Amino acid sequence: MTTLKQTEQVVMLAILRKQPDAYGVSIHEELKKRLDREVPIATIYATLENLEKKGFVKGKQGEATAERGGRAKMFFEITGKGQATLNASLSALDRLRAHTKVAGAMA
Amino acid sequence: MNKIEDAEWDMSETASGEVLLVVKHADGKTETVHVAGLPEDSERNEMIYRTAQSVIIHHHYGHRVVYSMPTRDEAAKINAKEEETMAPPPLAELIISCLAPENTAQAQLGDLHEMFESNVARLGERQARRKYWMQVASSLLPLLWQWIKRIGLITMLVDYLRSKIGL
Repeated sequence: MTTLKQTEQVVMLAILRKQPDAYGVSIHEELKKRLDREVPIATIYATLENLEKKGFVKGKQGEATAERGGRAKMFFEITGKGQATLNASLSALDRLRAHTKVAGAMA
Repeated sequence: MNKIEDAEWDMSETASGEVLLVVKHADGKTETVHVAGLPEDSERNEMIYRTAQSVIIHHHYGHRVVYSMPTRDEAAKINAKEEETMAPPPLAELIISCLAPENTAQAQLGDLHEMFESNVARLGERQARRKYWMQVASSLLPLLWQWIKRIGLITMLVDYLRSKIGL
């Protein structure tokens, strides 16, 4: 089974949260809001490229707008294969975490 | 009468579209100020108020205020200059366009541009430029790593070392 790195997991989760408007800036903002840290745009795109190669996400060119200096957005969505892999990866993490007590963790 | 601090002011419009401000200063003396060249748009009332405020604060007599609105060419030049300075740092853009993969370079530049525009509106141009450079600086390592993988530098290096060691 293909495993997912942590960065891949968080980027895929951000795409799920922002769908159908998941593109570079919205993914970046979502990660900043939820993880409380700035992930460089290049890291997001490098992760998306890896995920696309593995067939977990699919990119689609959007319309060019003036506020982006005339450059088009690239929207991303998770494929069926990607959903299944993400689900398996998160379930494995949940199983590992079950019945463990981490100091300072929320109930 | 309108009040600003301890002074009072009122206005009337002349037939030629100019404005006469009547200001009664805190010392009781009254001054009439002729204001010409005001625009006809929504900024007119704001400009009249600001003029009255200025007359009251800079308390001396014999004011005559003539505004000169920029001509259409001048306004276009000012707008063009503003747009020119509002662009993200060109060197930072060049770095991204050189290092980013061809298929996502434009999307990455567009995203950075969009963040720059929102930062200009939120924090001002100087902070927005600083944030742009910080984004580019933090993107350098992942971009370089991607570039190295793309051109197969590691494979070339391993092959070279193997050939030297004789494996």
